[in-house]
Amino acid sequence: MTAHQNYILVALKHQRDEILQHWFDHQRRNETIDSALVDSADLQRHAAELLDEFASLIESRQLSDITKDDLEQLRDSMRSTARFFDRRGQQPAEIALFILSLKHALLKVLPPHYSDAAELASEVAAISEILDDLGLFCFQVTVEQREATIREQQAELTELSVPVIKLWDNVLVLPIIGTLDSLRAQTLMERLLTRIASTGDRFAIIDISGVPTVDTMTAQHLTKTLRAVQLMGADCVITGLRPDVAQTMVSLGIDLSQFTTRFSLADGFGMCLDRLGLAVQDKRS
Amino acid sequence: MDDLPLIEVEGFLLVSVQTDLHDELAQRLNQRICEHIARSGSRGVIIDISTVEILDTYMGRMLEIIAAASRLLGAQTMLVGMRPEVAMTLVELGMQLQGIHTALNLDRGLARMRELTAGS
Repeated sequence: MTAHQNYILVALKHQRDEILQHWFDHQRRNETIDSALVDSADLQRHAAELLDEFASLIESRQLSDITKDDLEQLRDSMRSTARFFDRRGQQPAEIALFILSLKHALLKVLPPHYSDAAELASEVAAISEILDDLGLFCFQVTVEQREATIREQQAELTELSVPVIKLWDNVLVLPIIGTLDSLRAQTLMERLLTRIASTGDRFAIIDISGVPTVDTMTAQHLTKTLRAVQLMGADCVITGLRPDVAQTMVSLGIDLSQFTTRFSLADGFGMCLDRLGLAVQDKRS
Repeated sequence: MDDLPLIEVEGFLLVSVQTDLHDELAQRLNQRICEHIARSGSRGVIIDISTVEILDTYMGRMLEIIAAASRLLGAQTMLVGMRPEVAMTLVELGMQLQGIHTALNLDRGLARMRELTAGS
C-alpha cells in the first residue's frame, strides 16, 4: 500500500511544475478563471500553494485513511484562495471548477506510474473525493462570504434609514422616508431613546411626510415610540401628516389625540421653540 | 429587607428605588408614602428609577397605585431617570403608567414638579 502511495507523492514532488503547467493549460482552454479579473502570477501562486498543501496532506497520511478532519489545513488555504478570487469578481462555480480541474492535470501525469489499472482507478477515485470536497467547500465559502456582505449592508441600510438629527439645542428631528416597518420602528425607538438618555434633549420631532401610507401597524409603531419618549421625560411631536394621511388615520380609527401633531416640520419646530421659551426674531425690524 | 428611604427635598418626597419592588415592599412603600404626604402636606412625590434595569407589569401597576393614592391626597407623582430599555419594555407590554408624570433625571423632575405645583 505504501508503495502506491509513493507514486502520487513522487509525481507531486518531481513533476510539480509539469502538473502546474497542465493545470494552467486546462484553465486557459476553458477560461474558468478570467484572466481579466485575476492575473496569472496570482493564479500561479495560489495554485502552487494549494498543490503543495495537497502534497503535504498525502505525505502525512495514507490516501485511503484520509478523513474529513485531515482536510482542515487544505481547506484553510482553499478558503483564502476562494476569498481572493471572490473579491476579484469570480463566480463561486468558476472557483469550484478551478480546483476540480486539478483532476485533469493529475490524470495526465499519474497513469504512466501505474502498471495495474485497478490500482490507478482506486487511487484516482480517492483523490477525486478529496478534490470534490474542496470544490464544494469553495462554493460554501464564497456563498457564506456573500451572505455576510448582504447582512452587513442590511445593517448599514437600517442604520442609515433612521437618522436622528439635532435641529437645535434640545430639539431632535427624525425624518422618516419610506415605509415604517417593525424592524425600522424598533431601530428608530432604540436610537431615539438612547440619544435622549445621553444628551437629555427635551423634544423629538418625528416627520412622516416621507411615509407614503400610514396603516394601523405604522400607527402602532409610532404610538409606542411616542409613549416611550414620554416615559423618558421628553416630548414628541409628529409632523408632516398630509391631508389624505390624516383622513385615512381617522377612518382607520387611529387615535393620536394624546400626542402633539402639526402639519409641517416648521410648525412643529416653532412649537418646540415656543415651549423652550425661545423666539425667532427678524433682524431688520 | 430594609424599607426604602424617603427623603424630603424642597418640600417634595423623594424615593430612590434601587431594589426589586416585590409585593410586601411595594405595599409598605405605598402606605409609607401616603402617611408621609398626610403628615407633611407634601405636594409631590418623585420616584427615581435610574438604577432599575427591569420594570415588570407588577411594578408598573404598583407605581400607578401609588400615583393614584397620592393624587387623592393632593400630591403629584413623577417618575425620573427611566432607562431607554425600560421605556421600550413598558410600551411593548402596553403599560400606560396613567397619572404619572415623567422626567429625564432628578434635576428636570424637580424643576417640572415646581412648575406643576406652582400657584396651588
